[in-house]
Amino acid sequence: MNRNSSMFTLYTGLLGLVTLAFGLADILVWAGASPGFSIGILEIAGGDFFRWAWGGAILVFGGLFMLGSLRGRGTMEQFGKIVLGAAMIWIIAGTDIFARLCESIPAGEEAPEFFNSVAGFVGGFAPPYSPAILLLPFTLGIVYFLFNGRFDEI
Amino acid sequence: MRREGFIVLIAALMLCQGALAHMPGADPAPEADLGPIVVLDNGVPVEIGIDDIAAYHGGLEGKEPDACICCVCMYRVLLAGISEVWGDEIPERSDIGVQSRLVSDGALHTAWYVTGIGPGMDAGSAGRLTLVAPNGSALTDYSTQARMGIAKNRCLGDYRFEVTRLSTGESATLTLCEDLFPEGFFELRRAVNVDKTATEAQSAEFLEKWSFLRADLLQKPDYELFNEIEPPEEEEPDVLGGGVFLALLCITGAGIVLMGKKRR
Repeated sequence: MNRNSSMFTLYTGLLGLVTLAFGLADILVWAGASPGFSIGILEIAGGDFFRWAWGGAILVFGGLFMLGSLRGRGTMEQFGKIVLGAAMIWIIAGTDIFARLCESIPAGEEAPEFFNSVAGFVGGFAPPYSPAILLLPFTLGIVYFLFNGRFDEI
Repeated sequence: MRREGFIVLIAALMLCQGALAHMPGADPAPEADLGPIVVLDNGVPVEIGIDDIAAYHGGLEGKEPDACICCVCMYRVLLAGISEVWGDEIPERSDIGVQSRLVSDGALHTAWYVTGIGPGMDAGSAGRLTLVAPNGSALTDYSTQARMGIAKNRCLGDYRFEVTRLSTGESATLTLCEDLFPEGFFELRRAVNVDKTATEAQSAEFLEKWSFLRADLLQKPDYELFNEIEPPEEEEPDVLGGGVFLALLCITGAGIVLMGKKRR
Protein backbone atom coordinates (compact mmCIF):
# COMPACT_ATOMS: atom_id res chain seq x y z
CA MET A 1 0.00 0.00 0.00
CA ASN A 2 1.61 3.29 -1.04
CA ARG A 3 1.42 6.61 0.79
CA ASN A 4 -1.20 8.04 -1.59
CA SER A 5 -3.40 5.04 -1.04
CA SER A 6 -3.29 5.23 2.75
CA MET A 7 -3.99 8.98 2.69
CA PHE A 8 -6.97 8.47 0.40
CA THR A 9 -8.25 5.64 2.59
CA LEU A 10 -8.02 7.90 5.66
CA TYR A 11 -9.77 10.72 3.78
CA THR A 12 -12.57 8.43 2.58
CA GLY A 13 -12.98 6.84 6.00
CA LEU A 14 -13.24 10.18 7.79
CA LEU A 15 -15.62 11.60 5.17
CA GLY A 16 -17.76 8.45 5.38
CA LEU A 17 -17.90 8.61 9.17
CA VAL A 18 -18.81 12.30 9.25
CA THR A 19 -21.43 11.80 6.53
CA LEU A 20 -22.93 8.89 8.45
CA ALA A 21 -22.97 10.94 11.68
CA PHE A 22 -24.60 13.92 9.98
CA GLY A 23 -27.21 11.68 8.35
CA LEU A 24 -28.07 10.09 11.68
CA ALA A 25 -28.20 13.52 13.33
CA ASP A 26 -30.64 14.73 10.64
CA ILE A 27 -32.91 11.76 11.30
CA LEU A 28 -32.69 12.02 15.09
CA VAL A 29 -33.48 15.74 15.09
CA TRP A 30 -36.44 15.12 12.81
CA ALA A 31 -37.59 12.30 15.11
CA GLY A 32 -37.69 14.75 18.01
CA ALA A 33 -34.46 14.02 19.86
CA SER A 34 -33.83 17.77 19.66
CA PRO A 35 -36.03 20.71 18.64
CA GLY A 36 -33.42 21.60 16.01
CA PHE A 37 -30.13 23.35 16.63
CA SER A 38 -27.55 25.65 15.17
CA ILE A 39 -23.87 25.53 16.10
CA GLY A 40 -21.62 28.01 14.34
CA ILE A 41 -22.27 27.64 10.63
CA LEU A 42 -24.03 24.26 11.01
CA GLU A 43 -27.79 24.09 11.33
CA ILE A 44 -30.13 21.10 11.57
CA ALA A 45 -33.72 22.32 11.60
CA GLY A 46 -35.38 18.92 11.54
CA GLY A 47 -38.92 20.06 10.76
CA ASP A 48 -39.65 18.63 7.34
CA PHE A 49 -39.88 14.88 6.82
CA PHE A 50 -38.55 14.75 3.26
CA ARG A 51 -35.61 17.03 3.91
CA TRP A 52 -34.46 15.77 7.28
CA ALA A 53 -35.66 12.16 7.63
CA TRP A 54 -35.49 11.13 3.97
CA GLY A 55 -32.50 13.37 3.24
CA GLY A 56 -30.83 12.10 6.39
CA ALA A 57 -31.33 8.52 5.23
CA ILE A 58 -29.66 9.40 1.91
CA LEU A 59 -26.67 10.83 3.79
CA VAL A 60 -26.54 7.72 5.99
CA PHE A 61 -26.35 5.53 2.87
CA GLY A 62 -23.75 7.89 1.39
CA GLY A 63 -21.63 7.42 4.50
CA LEU A 64 -22.13 3.64 4.43
CA PHE A 65 -21.10 3.46 0.76
CA MET A 66 -17.90 5.35 1.54
CA LEU A 67 -17.13 3.20 4.56
CA GLY A 68 -17.97 0.09 2.52
CA SER A 69 -15.32 1.08 -0.01
CA LEU A 70 -12.63 0.70 2.65
CA ARG A 71 -12.93 -3.07 2.59
CA GLY A 72 -10.61 -4.93 0.21
CA ARG A 73 -7.97 -3.73 -2.21
CA GLY A 74 -8.02 -0.51 -4.23
CA THR A 75 -10.09 -1.34 -7.28
CA MET A 76 -12.43 0.47 -9.63
CA GLU A 77 -15.38 -1.12 -7.81
CA GLN A 78 -14.19 0.43 -4.56
CA PHE A 79 -13.83 3.83 -6.17
CA GLY A 80 -17.30 3.38 -7.64
CA LYS A 81 -18.68 3.03 -4.13
CA ILE A 82 -16.88 6.20 -3.03
CA VAL A 83 -18.31 8.14 -5.99
CA LEU A 84 -21.77 6.78 -5.23
CA GLY A 85 -21.41 7.92 -1.60
CA ALA A 86 -20.26 11.36 -2.74
CA ALA A 87 -23.14 11.54 -5.22
CA MET A 88 -25.54 11.10 -2.29
CA ILE A 89 -24.00 14.18 -0.66
CA TRP A 90 -24.15 16.11 -3.96
CA ILE A 91 -27.85 15.32 -4.37
CA ILE A 92 -28.81 16.59 -0.92
CA ALA A 93 -26.44 19.58 -1.01
CA GLY A 94 -27.66 20.42 -4.52
CA THR A 95 -31.30 20.43 -3.42
CA ASP A 96 -30.40 22.55 -0.36
CA ILE A 97 -28.63 25.12 -2.52
CA PHE A 98 -31.49 25.08 -5.03
CA ALA A 99 -33.97 25.64 -2.19
CA ARG A 100 -31.93 28.64 -1.02
CA LEU A 101 -31.86 29.99 -4.56
CA CYS A 102 -35.63 29.69 -4.87
CA GLU A 103 -36.24 31.23 -1.43
CA SER A 104 -33.92 34.14 -2.14
CA ILE A 105 -35.53 35.27 -5.40
CA PRO A 106 -38.83 36.59 -3.97
CA ALA A 107 -38.91 39.29 -1.28
CA GLY A 108 -40.38 38.51 2.13
CA GLU A 109 -44.10 37.91 2.62
CA GLU A 110 -44.68 41.35 4.11
CA ALA A 111 -42.67 43.25 1.51
CA PRO A 112 -44.74 45.12 -1.08
CA GLU A 113 -42.46 44.16 -3.99
CA PHE A 114 -42.21 40.64 -5.42
CA PHE A 115 -38.48 40.37 -6.20
CA ASN A 116 -35.84 40.50 -3.51
CA SER A 117 -33.12 43.15 -3.50
CA VAL A 118 -29.61 42.13 -4.61
CA ALA A 119 -28.40 42.34 -1.00
CA GLY A 120 -31.36 40.25 0.15
CA PHE A 121 -30.69 37.69 -2.58
CA VAL A 122 -26.98 37.35 -1.73
CA GLY A 123 -27.79 37.36 1.99
CA GLY A 124 -30.03 34.34 1.42
CA PHE A 125 -26.89 32.25 0.93
CA ALA A 126 -25.34 33.29 4.24
CA PRO A 127 -24.63 30.79 7.02
CA PRO A 128 -25.79 28.66 8.77
CA TYR A 129 -25.75 25.73 6.36
CA SER A 130 -27.14 22.21 6.38
CA PRO A 131 -24.68 19.34 6.99
CA ALA A 132 -24.79 18.30 3.32
CA ILE A 133 -23.65 21.76 2.14
CA LEU A 134 -20.82 21.73 4.68
CA LEU A 135 -19.72 18.30 3.40
CA LEU A 136 -19.70 19.50 -0.20
CA PRO A 137 -16.15 20.97 -0.31
CA PHE A 138 -14.75 17.84 1.28
CA THR A 139 -15.96 15.78 -1.67
CA LEU A 140 -13.86 17.82 -4.12
CA GLY A 141 -10.98 15.39 -3.70
CA ILE A 142 -13.19 12.66 -5.10
CA VAL A 143 -14.14 14.94 -8.03
CA TYR A 144 -10.45 15.50 -8.72
CA PHE A 145 -9.69 11.78 -8.88
CA LEU A 146 -12.84 11.17 -10.90
CA PHE A 147 -12.00 13.74 -13.57
CA ASN A 148 -8.35 12.78 -13.80
CA GLY A 149 -9.11 9.09 -14.04
CA ARG A 150 -6.49 8.36 -11.38
CA PHE A 151 -8.64 6.05 -9.30
CA ASP A 152 -6.38 3.16 -10.29
CA GLU A 153 -3.49 4.88 -8.48
CA ILE A 154 -5.16 5.05 -5.10
CA MET B 1 -71.73 3.16 9.79
CA ARG B 2 -75.50 3.38 9.88
CA ARG B 3 -77.18 6.45 8.39
CA GLU B 4 -78.45 7.67 11.80
CA GLY B 5 -74.99 7.40 13.28
CA PHE B 6 -73.55 9.32 10.35
CA ILE B 7 -76.11 12.12 10.76
CA VAL B 8 -75.40 12.32 14.51
CA LEU B 9 -71.66 12.52 13.75
CA ILE B 10 -72.16 15.34 11.24
CA ALA B 11 -74.44 17.17 13.70
CA ALA B 12 -71.83 16.80 16.44
CA LEU B 13 -69.12 18.16 14.16
CA MET B 14 -71.31 21.14 13.26
CA LEU B 15 -71.93 21.82 16.96
CA CYS B 16 -68.18 21.76 17.59
CA GLN B 17 -67.74 24.44 14.93
CA GLY B 18 -70.49 26.57 16.41
CA ALA B 19 -69.02 26.32 19.88
CA LEU B 20 -66.49 29.09 19.31
CA ALA B 21 -69.03 31.57 17.98
CA HIS B 22 -70.03 34.14 20.60
CA MET B 23 -72.09 36.48 18.49
CA PRO B 24 -75.19 34.67 17.18
CA GLY B 25 -74.61 34.04 13.50
CA ALA B 26 -70.89 34.85 13.64
CA ASP B 27 -68.46 32.72 11.67
CA PRO B 28 -66.37 30.22 13.63
CA ALA B 29 -63.19 31.71 15.05
CA PRO B 30 -60.28 31.34 12.64
CA GLU B 31 -57.45 28.96 13.45
CA ALA B 32 -54.73 30.66 15.46
CA ASP B 33 -51.61 29.34 17.11
CA LEU B 34 -51.30 31.76 20.00
CA GLY B 35 -49.47 29.45 22.35
CA PRO B 36 -50.47 29.01 25.98
CA ILE B 37 -50.10 31.36 28.93
CA VAL B 38 -47.86 29.47 31.33
CA VAL B 39 -48.12 30.25 35.05
CA LEU B 40 -46.90 28.52 38.19
CA ASP B 41 -49.66 27.39 40.52
CA ASN B 42 -47.91 26.76 43.86
CA GLY B 43 -44.75 25.97 41.91
CA VAL B 44 -46.47 23.66 39.41
CA PRO B 45 -46.46 24.89 35.79
CA VAL B 46 -49.96 25.27 34.35
CA GLU B 47 -50.58 25.89 30.65
CA ILE B 48 -53.67 27.96 29.84
CA GLY B 49 -54.82 27.93 26.23
CA ILE B 50 -57.52 29.99 24.54
CA ASP B 51 -59.71 26.87 24.54
CA ASP B 52 -59.50 26.69 28.35
CA ILE B 53 -60.58 30.31 28.54
CA ALA B 54 -63.46 29.65 26.11
CA ALA B 55 -64.61 26.68 28.21
CA TYR B 56 -64.41 28.65 31.48
CA HIS B 57 -66.22 31.69 30.06
CA GLY B 58 -68.86 29.50 28.43
CA GLY B 59 -69.34 27.59 31.69
CA LEU B 60 -69.87 30.77 33.74
CA GLU B 61 -72.31 32.09 31.12
CA GLY B 62 -74.13 28.76 31.03
CA LYS B 63 -73.36 28.41 27.34
CA GLU B 64 -71.14 26.41 25.04
CA PRO B 65 -67.38 27.16 25.09
CA ASP B 66 -67.06 30.67 23.75
CA ALA B 67 -63.98 32.73 22.84
CA CYS B 68 -65.52 36.17 22.30
CA ILE B 69 -63.66 39.35 21.40
CA CYS B 70 -63.20 40.35 25.03
CA CYS B 71 -61.83 36.91 25.99
CA VAL B 72 -59.38 36.95 23.11
CA CYS B 73 -58.41 40.56 23.84
CA MET B 74 -57.67 39.89 27.52
CA TYR B 75 -55.84 36.66 26.57
CA ARG B 76 -53.57 38.60 24.20
CA VAL B 77 -53.06 41.29 26.85
CA LEU B 78 -51.98 38.72 29.42
CA LEU B 79 -49.74 36.85 26.95
CA ALA B 80 -48.00 40.07 25.89
CA GLY B 81 -47.99 41.65 29.35
CA ILE B 82 -46.46 38.61 31.06
CA SER B 83 -43.85 38.40 28.32
CA GLU B 84 -43.03 42.12 28.73
CA VAL B 85 -42.77 42.03 32.52
CA TRP B 86 -41.39 38.55 33.25
CA GLY B 87 -39.46 37.97 30.03
CA ASP B 88 -38.55 34.29 29.80
CA GLU B 89 -39.47 33.62 33.43
CA ILE B 90 -42.71 31.85 34.35
CA PRO B 91 -44.77 33.94 36.77
CA GLU B 92 -46.29 32.57 39.93
CA ARG B 93 -50.06 32.98 39.64
CA SER B 94 -50.20 34.84 42.93
CA ASP B 95 -47.65 37.36 41.61
CA ILE B 96 -49.79 38.50 38.66
CA GLY B 97 -51.72 41.72 39.00
CA VAL B 98 -54.08 42.91 36.26
CA GLN B 99 -55.81 46.27 35.87
CA SER B 100 -58.43 46.53 33.17
CA ARG B 101 -60.71 49.28 31.94
CA LEU B 102 -62.49 46.68 29.85
CA VAL B 103 -65.16 45.50 32.26
CA SER B 104 -67.00 42.99 30.08
CA ASP B 105 -67.78 39.42 31.15
CA GLY B 106 -65.29 37.98 28.67
CA ALA B 107 -62.41 40.12 29.92
CA LEU B 108 -63.36 39.56 33.56
CA HIS B 109 -63.63 35.77 33.22
CA THR B 110 -60.35 35.53 31.32
CA ALA B 111 -58.50 37.56 33.94
CA TRP B 112 -60.20 35.55 36.70
CA TYR B 113 -59.08 32.29 35.14
CA VAL B 114 -55.47 33.30 34.55
CA THR B 115 -55.00 34.98 37.94
CA GLY B 116 -56.95 32.22 39.70
CA ILE B 117 -59.44 34.59 41.33
CA GLY B 118 -62.67 33.36 39.76
CA PRO B 119 -65.25 30.84 40.94
CA GLY B 120 -63.94 27.30 41.03
CA MET B 121 -60.31 28.40 41.30
CA ASP B 122 -57.85 27.99 44.18
CA ALA B 123 -58.06 31.29 46.07
CA GLY B 124 -54.88 30.43 47.98
CA SER B 125 -52.68 30.98 44.94
CA ALA B 126 -54.67 33.78 43.34
CA GLY B 127 -53.24 36.99 41.92
CA ARG B 128 -55.02 40.32 41.83
CA LEU B 129 -57.52 41.85 39.42
CA THR B 130 -58.75 45.44 39.46
CA LEU B 131 -61.44 46.69 37.13
CA VAL B 132 -61.15 50.40 36.49
CA ALA B 133 -64.02 52.77 35.75
CA PRO B 134 -63.74 55.29 32.90
CA ASN B 135 -62.97 58.05 35.43
CA GLY B 136 -59.91 56.11 36.59
CA SER B 137 -61.25 54.92 39.95
CA ALA B 138 -61.22 51.24 40.89
CA LEU B 139 -64.58 49.49 40.65
CA THR B 140 -65.81 48.00 43.89
CA ASP B 141 -69.00 46.50 42.52
CA TYR B 142 -68.27 43.75 39.97
CA SER B 143 -71.91 42.81 39.51
CA THR B 144 -73.17 42.44 35.94
CA GLN B 145 -75.53 45.37 36.42
CA ALA B 146 -72.79 47.72 37.59
CA ARG B 147 -70.49 46.70 34.77
CA MET B 148 -73.24 46.93 32.15
CA GLY B 149 -73.69 50.59 33.01
CA ILE B 150 -70.09 51.23 32.02
CA ALA B 151 -70.10 48.87 29.04
CA LYS B 152 -72.95 50.80 27.40
CA ASN B 153 -70.59 53.57 26.38
CA ARG B 154 -67.65 51.40 25.41
CA CYS B 155 -65.02 53.20 23.42
CA LEU B 156 -61.37 52.82 22.43
CA GLY B 157 -60.21 54.22 25.79
CA ASP B 158 -61.70 51.20 27.55
CA TYR B 159 -59.10 48.93 25.95
CA ARG B 160 -56.40 49.94 28.40
CA PHE B 161 -54.70 47.35 30.59
CA GLU B 162 -51.86 47.07 33.04
CA VAL B 163 -50.10 43.83 33.94
CA THR B 164 -48.07 44.08 37.16
CA ARG B 165 -45.51 41.89 38.88
CA LEU B 166 -46.82 42.29 42.41
CA SER B 167 -43.59 41.26 44.13
CA THR B 168 -41.51 43.98 42.45
CA GLY B 169 -44.09 46.52 41.29
CA GLU B 170 -42.78 46.27 37.73
CA SER B 171 -45.60 46.71 35.23
CA ALA B 172 -46.51 47.01 31.55
CA THR B 173 -49.33 49.18 30.25
CA LEU B 174 -50.99 48.01 27.07
CA THR B 175 -53.54 49.83 24.92
CA LEU B 176 -55.15 48.48 21.79
CA CYS B 177 -54.31 50.20 18.48
CA GLU B 178 -57.07 52.40 17.09
CA ASP B 179 -56.77 51.05 13.55
CA LEU B 180 -57.77 47.57 14.73
CA PHE B 181 -61.37 48.68 15.11
CA PRO B 182 -63.36 48.93 11.89
CA GLU B 183 -64.91 52.32 11.21
CA GLY B 184 -68.12 52.90 13.16
CA PHE B 185 -67.63 49.76 15.26
CA PHE B 186 -68.57 51.30 18.61
CA GLU B 187 -71.63 53.11 17.22
CA LEU B 188 -72.87 49.93 15.60
CA ARG B 189 -72.19 47.96 18.78
CA ARG B 190 -74.29 50.39 20.79
CA ALA B 191 -77.13 50.29 18.27
CA VAL B 192 -77.11 46.46 18.09
CA ASN B 193 -76.27 45.38 21.64
CA VAL B 194 -77.38 48.26 23.87
CA ASP B 195 -80.10 50.41 22.30
CA LYS B 196 -81.48 47.57 20.14
CA THR B 197 -82.33 50.09 17.44
CA ALA B 198 -80.23 48.57 14.66
CA THR B 199 -81.77 47.63 11.34
CA GLU B 200 -81.20 44.18 9.88
CA ALA B 201 -78.54 45.58 7.57
CA GLN B 202 -76.76 47.26 10.50
CA SER B 203 -76.85 44.03 12.49
CA ALA B 204 -75.32 42.16 9.57
CA GLU B 205 -72.67 44.86 9.20
CA PHE B 206 -71.84 44.70 12.90
CA LEU B 207 -71.59 40.91 12.74
CA GLU B 208 -69.11 41.18 9.89
CA LYS B 209 -67.01 43.80 11.70
CA TRP B 210 -67.15 41.82 14.93
CA SER B 211 -65.83 38.69 13.17
CA PHE B 212 -63.16 40.77 11.44
CA LEU B 213 -61.96 42.24 14.74
CA ARG B 214 -61.87 38.85 16.46
CA ALA B 215 -59.83 37.38 13.59
CA ASP B 216 -57.35 40.26 13.92
CA LEU B 217 -57.09 39.80 17.68
CA LEU B 218 -56.45 36.10 17.19
CA GLN B 219 -54.00 36.32 14.33
CA LYS B 220 -52.09 39.60 14.38
CA PRO B 221 -48.71 39.83 16.12
CA ASP B 222 -48.44 41.77 19.39
CA TYR B 223 -46.83 44.82 17.78
CA GLU B 224 -49.84 45.25 15.48
CA LEU B 225 -52.28 44.98 18.40
CA PHE B 226 -50.70 47.13 21.09
CA ASN B 227 -49.42 50.69 20.82
CA GLU B 228 -46.66 50.05 23.37
CA ILE B 229 -45.00 47.09 21.67
CA GLU B 230 -42.39 47.92 19.05
CA PRO B 231 -42.12 45.79 15.93
CA PRO B 232 -39.02 43.58 15.87
CA GLU B 233 -36.06 45.11 14.11
CA GLU B 234 -35.51 43.71 10.66
CA GLU B 235 -32.25 41.82 10.38
CA GLU B 236 -29.88 43.16 7.79
CA PRO B 237 -29.02 40.44 5.27
CA ASP B 238 -25.54 38.96 5.72
CA VAL B 239 -24.24 40.00 2.31
CA LEU B 240 -20.62 39.12 3.12
CA GLY B 241 -21.44 35.57 4.24
CA GLY B 242 -23.74 34.99 1.28
CA GLY B 243 -21.25 36.58 -1.12
CA VAL B 244 -18.40 34.37 0.06
CA PHE B 245 -20.57 31.29 -0.36
CA LEU B 246 -21.70 32.28 -3.86
CA ALA B 247 -18.14 33.17 -4.88
CA LEU B 248 -16.82 29.81 -3.65
CA LEU B 249 -19.67 28.04 -5.41
CA CYS B 250 -18.98 29.81 -8.70
CA ILE B 251 -15.20 29.25 -8.48
CA THR B 252 -15.69 25.55 -7.69
CA GLY B 253 -18.22 25.16 -10.50
CA ALA B 254 -15.92 26.87 -12.97
CA GLY B 255 -12.99 24.73 -11.78
CA ILE B 256 -14.97 21.54 -12.30
CA VAL B 257 -16.04 22.63 -15.80
CA LEU B 258 -12.44 23.50 -16.71
CA MET B 259 -11.23 20.20 -15.30
CA GLY B 260 -13.81 18.38 -17.40
CA LYS B 261 -12.78 20.25 -20.58
CA LYS B 262 -9.08 19.64 -19.92
CA ARG B 263 -9.73 15.94 -19.59
CA ARG B 264 -11.30 15.84 -23.04
